[in-house]
Amino acid sequence: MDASTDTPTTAASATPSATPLTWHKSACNLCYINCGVELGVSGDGAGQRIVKVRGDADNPRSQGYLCNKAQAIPSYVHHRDRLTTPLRRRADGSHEPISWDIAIREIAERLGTVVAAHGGKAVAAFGGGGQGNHAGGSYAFGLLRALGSRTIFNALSQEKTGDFWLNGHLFGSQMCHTGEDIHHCDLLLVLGANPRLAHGFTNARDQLNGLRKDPQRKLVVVDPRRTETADAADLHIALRPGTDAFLLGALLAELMRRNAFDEVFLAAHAVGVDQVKSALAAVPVAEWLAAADVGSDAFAQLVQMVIDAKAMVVRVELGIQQGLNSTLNSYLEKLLYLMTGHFSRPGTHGLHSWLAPLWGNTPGARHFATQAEVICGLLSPNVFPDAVLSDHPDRLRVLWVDSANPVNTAADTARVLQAMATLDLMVVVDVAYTETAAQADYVLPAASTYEKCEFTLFNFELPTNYFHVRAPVLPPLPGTLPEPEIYGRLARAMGLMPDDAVLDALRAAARDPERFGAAFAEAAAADKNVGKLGGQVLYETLGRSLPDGTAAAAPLWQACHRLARTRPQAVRQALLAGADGAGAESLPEEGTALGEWLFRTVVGARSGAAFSVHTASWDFIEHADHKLHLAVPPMLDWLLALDPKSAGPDPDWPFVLSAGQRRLNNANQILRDPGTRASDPDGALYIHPDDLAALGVADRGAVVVETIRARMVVRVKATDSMRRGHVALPHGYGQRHPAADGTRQVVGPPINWLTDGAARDRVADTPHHKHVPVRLHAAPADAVLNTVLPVAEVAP
Amino acid sequence: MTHVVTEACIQCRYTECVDVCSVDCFRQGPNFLTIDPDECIDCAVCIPECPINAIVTEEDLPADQQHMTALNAELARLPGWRPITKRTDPLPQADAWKDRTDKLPHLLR
Repeated sequence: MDASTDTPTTAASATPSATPLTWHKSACNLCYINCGVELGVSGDGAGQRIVKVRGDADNPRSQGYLCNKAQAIPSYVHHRDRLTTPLRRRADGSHEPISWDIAIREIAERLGTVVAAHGGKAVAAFGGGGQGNHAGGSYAFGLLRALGSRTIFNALSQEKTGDFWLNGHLFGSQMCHTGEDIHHCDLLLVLGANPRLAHGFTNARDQLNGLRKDPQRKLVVVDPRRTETADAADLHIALRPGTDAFLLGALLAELMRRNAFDEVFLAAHAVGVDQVKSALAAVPVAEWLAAADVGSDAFAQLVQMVIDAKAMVVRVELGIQQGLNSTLNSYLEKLLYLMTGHFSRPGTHGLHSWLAPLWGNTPGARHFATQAEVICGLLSPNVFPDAVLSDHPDRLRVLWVDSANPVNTAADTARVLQAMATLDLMVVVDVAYTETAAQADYVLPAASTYEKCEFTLFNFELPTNYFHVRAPVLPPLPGTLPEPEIYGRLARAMGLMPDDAVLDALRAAARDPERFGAAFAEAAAADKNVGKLGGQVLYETLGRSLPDGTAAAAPLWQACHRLARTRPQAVRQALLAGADGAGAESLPEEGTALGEWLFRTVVGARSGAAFSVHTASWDFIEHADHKLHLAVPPMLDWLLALDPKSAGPDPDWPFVLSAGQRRLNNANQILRDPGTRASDPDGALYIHPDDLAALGVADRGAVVVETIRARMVVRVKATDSMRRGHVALPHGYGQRHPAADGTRQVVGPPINWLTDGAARDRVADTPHHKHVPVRLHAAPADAVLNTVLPVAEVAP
Repeated sequence: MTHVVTEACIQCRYTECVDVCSVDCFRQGPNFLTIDPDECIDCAVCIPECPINAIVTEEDLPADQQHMTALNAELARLPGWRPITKRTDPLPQADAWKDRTDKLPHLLR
């Protein structure tokens, strides 16, 4: 473990404190950018605490960059709601502590009973990791797959699966995923995103500063709100909420009319172009601009900036992905940079490599009980209640939740709770007593992200892509276990692990990297369980030879060897660059030796390492012709059926609520301690001052927010950055965190009581969180904040 | 959006903050440090380093320090104000001045 001592000054005095800190390299776990961090730890043994956070200059990707949100990392680890013992639910809904042995035994029995009666189809997983932790998920999924369960709900499938579904059509596989070279672009077009606060790409604030300072480089922001990113933009288009598809359609049509598509690029690299063009020819540009409430001057400026761009990146996020016409929005923004040829060259979009993919490819797959589309092997959380509250014989009966909190983060909380109450069994593996843990039959306490080896599969960089295995910074909180230990015990209790003799033989073989591959393959051929629980077996055998407490990274051995076999040049280039020339002569050309070198490099690099370098995206296209297949008929039909008359405000629901906004001090709902949000303790509703005045409410007062599902009283904050008729509530609030005396208080609005599970995308079932129709009115003087008041019976 | 050095720094200039700045955005004046708002990335790592809590985010500026946003920007553009990236000793008068609140007239450019 890398550690250096440092003597800090404290804020309280100008003389140095006597307590030395040890510094440990890791990564931030609050958003998927995972900036490299150094964590300063004070104390020793079980009394160690993370007390300081700074950027890690040695991280080859983030290079010392950090944002303010990482300062909250200590409060994620050290707070009074950490789980320290397994829990079992009592009849009255409260939980009692039980031992690990009893917990594992009872869970194994109950799980085994359901699987024996109904098969693995009755079991689903929720989560498998958060923004900073994917290592544990592979152990959870390995066990559940061994039981025959393949149904997974997670955050990706309520955000991104429309995008991934399209990638399947455009590039040939749902695992083809685009990265962006923002560093070299001269036009950054931001849609439904606020990178100044919410990042979404590496070193975002620094990149935005660079764009602002260079007069040759331009920034355009399309967003109903005048965001912090828009404040520094060359052009801000404050379109009507929910009308992105109209604006994008009009933009594409106008670019076509101005001959701004890259015909040479399209002739060389794309098919289906004529179908796309003939659909665009039918777009009534003026009408659609009116629907989006975008003026002709602003539109003309936008068009010209796109035409003038030498290298354009179109950066989108949940603002349009969780908005109306979600999958169509994604199709149009991809067409925007593909039809104009901003692809597979510096400063544009490209397909990135994977070490281990974060999702799969399941075109045309449907969930057996609900017929909902399974995309990338994932099912939308909006489908979860449907899958449980169904008469179908293959309905869900067991939910296994690992590192997720669907009671807080899935749409339509009332329906989610109803579904959970119907389950035969729910088990929650987590770090804190979350709102979902409070509903579980069993709760298993996991070590926090910084108390175990971790990594994430958010590896989206190009041309050089990086992987970062983080070593533990602290020992596990007493009573907790890291996931490989949890799932290993469960696998043994269910009779799924290979015999100790098999494992011992593999441990012996692990001492010789050349032998281990053959030994593992032999063992897998002889014993089905070795293959089924490959990750678990690798952890318990090969894992023991890994440095710095990184045994949990053992499953990466398979991915490293696979990549070295399939893309040796890309791997060699990355390893050569990382080695700085030293040892270049001994770097293997290919084969097992190269795979082993990659594995040892990745596992040993405490600040992360490059694993792949490639420049052209065409190799990553899975269509046999290696071309872009641009015509996606259901999307073209959807485009042509858009009705501008639908774009105006709904008289019954005069406001549009964007639910889940990112602000300066929120980042992730794993930050449960309200101390991290001292500047906005109530998670106030952002609203234009004129709208507030029309309601007769003063700034810092309260309003009732009413949706089709519920009513809730929330604090308000007036800001003229909001468009009239548009309001926003923040992400990451609504937890029930215990005060010092142990009583639980809700901290800010639990917004998913308000969201309607039926309001979702027609292709990917993505919730329309950024377009929730609401009514607002002044709150009575004695109203309690952030508590739900139902308006409707819960729909079955 | 930026972080802002408030009046508390005047006549003290402790400089612990500069060691941790990941974008080297501090500029040194005769008796004050300023943050260049064009470079600051709001990483907040500097805030706990100052022994007298002189740095705040723009959002958290108290009412009587609101003018410091523009002043930080103006000072950062003065040619004599160069980047400072390594801690140095505080000014000799730091201890005597650290609790005073009347320091703005003493700011040297």
